Amino acid sequence: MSETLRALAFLTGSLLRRLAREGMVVRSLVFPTALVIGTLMATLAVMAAIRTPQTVAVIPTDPVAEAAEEAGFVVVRTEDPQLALDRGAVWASIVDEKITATSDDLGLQQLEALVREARGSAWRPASNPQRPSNVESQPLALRIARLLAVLFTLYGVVFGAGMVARDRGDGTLESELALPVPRWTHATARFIAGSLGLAVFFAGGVALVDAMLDIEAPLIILGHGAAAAAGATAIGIASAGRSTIKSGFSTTLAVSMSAVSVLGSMGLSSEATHFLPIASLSATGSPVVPLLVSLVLGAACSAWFGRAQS
Amino acid sequence: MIEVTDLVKRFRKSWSEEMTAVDSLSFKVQPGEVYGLLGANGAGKTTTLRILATLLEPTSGTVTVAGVDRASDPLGVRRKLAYVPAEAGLPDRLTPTEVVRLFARIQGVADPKAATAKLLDRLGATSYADTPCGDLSTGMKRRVVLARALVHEPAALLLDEPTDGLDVPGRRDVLGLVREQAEAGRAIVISSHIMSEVERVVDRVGVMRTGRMVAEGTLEEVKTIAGSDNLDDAFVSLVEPET
Repeated sequence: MSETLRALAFLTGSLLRRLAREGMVVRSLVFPTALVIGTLMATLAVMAAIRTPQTVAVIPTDPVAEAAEEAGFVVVRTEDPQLALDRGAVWASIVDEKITATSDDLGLQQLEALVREARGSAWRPASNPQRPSNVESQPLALRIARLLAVLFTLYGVVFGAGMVARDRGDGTLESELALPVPRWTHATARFIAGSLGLAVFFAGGVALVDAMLDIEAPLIILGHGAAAAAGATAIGIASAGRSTIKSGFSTTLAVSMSAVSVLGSMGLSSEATHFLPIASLSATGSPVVPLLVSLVLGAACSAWFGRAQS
Repeated sequence: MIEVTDLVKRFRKSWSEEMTAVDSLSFKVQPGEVYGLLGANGAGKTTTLRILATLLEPTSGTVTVAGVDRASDPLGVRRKLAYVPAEAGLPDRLTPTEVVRLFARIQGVADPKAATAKLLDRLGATSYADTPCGDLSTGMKRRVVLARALVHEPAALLLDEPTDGLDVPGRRDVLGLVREQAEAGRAIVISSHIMSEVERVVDRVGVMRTGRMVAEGTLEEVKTIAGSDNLDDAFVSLVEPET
């Protein structure tokens, strides 16, 4: 057994070296960075494009007009603010103590404060100066980190199936299978190398998103993402079967992707499935069980691979 | 050294149909002997070698290598032999040193570093020992593949079309290396369909047609069986389907 474990360690080390030299490091760091920056830029662009200009119709003699202008609102002075609102010319209208707006934007609270101040009201709404700066960015960070986890899950399928199919196609796997170690060792080495590599670089991606946007519970996201990537790697290895990249790889990918999609859908439709890797991507609880299940899945897929070789 | 008895391998083509790739094949190879397994494409040569290398399970029959039974101790057989497939099987991003050392370590060679350097030197591969395998020529790769196979000093060597894709000097080199290995006492099985190569290197041949052994013996004996003075003609007459 110790000989097999030694061989497993050597094979895993060799595979990790190959993955590193094939540019996995660069890709794994570039993609998350590009994803974060791209998502932020796209979000800002979309918000700018769909943002309704906060135009307010006010009676010309109303003192709130000047205060609203100073606060950054576009003020339209008109004798009939309600008519301007009804025609869709403005976002909000102010008549005496009545504010009418077409949407419940953040500016509404500010406008109410201005009106109350202008009318000498005893109280007015105010935003909390102690509000943590990350309150708005955390949901976005969570979404990006989960998107990253989905990306690494897909990586897992491609890595797992690709490592087997490519090595079978160029004869590397056949040479290795002739070594005096059990066949499951070769699948296990690929499972460990793929999962470890993906987990390390997913951690890098999560750390990056956390540094930029502040994820609320980064370790939980990391755990579920690593479990999903490992589970997907195992599925990729098992579904590679006897295929090679040259002889046609689309069926392998289709089978793997379908299995991953099924697990993902199960996770979205029922929390009871959150003990499974990939299904747990949307979970908020501890990732220990999905991580353990992904290891069991890796062992089962290695055994299946060993049996399928002859 | 290598003993194959009544070997049969059938593949399932569909639910109702089977194909016999190897049919009641028997032969023996002694230490220091080069045995040529000849046949047209699809004759069953590679399947036979893959069964000997424990990569395929036979349907029936027995194989022993240096006294170790393939069925009861496949890992023991793998320790005794080395298999060189037709494809180089060298990862593009690893260097010859890394590839050979990995195999040396897994095979339990006492000093993998020294054994790797010594073998690459003996095979004339030192100058490109640290060049990624993806950048090597076909001839260079063949030398590396042989080094990888020989690093644990196996008792038997299985070579599947070892000169495939090589130019003339490359072929000469590889065949010279094969002969050297036989002189070192190894039992060697080499599959080929190029008769000029076979004539230069083998001691005995077995000619296969559709999975069956149709002639076996020294080159002269096979020519006699085929009723021809020329090995090419003898080969063609033996491997062509009967009409």
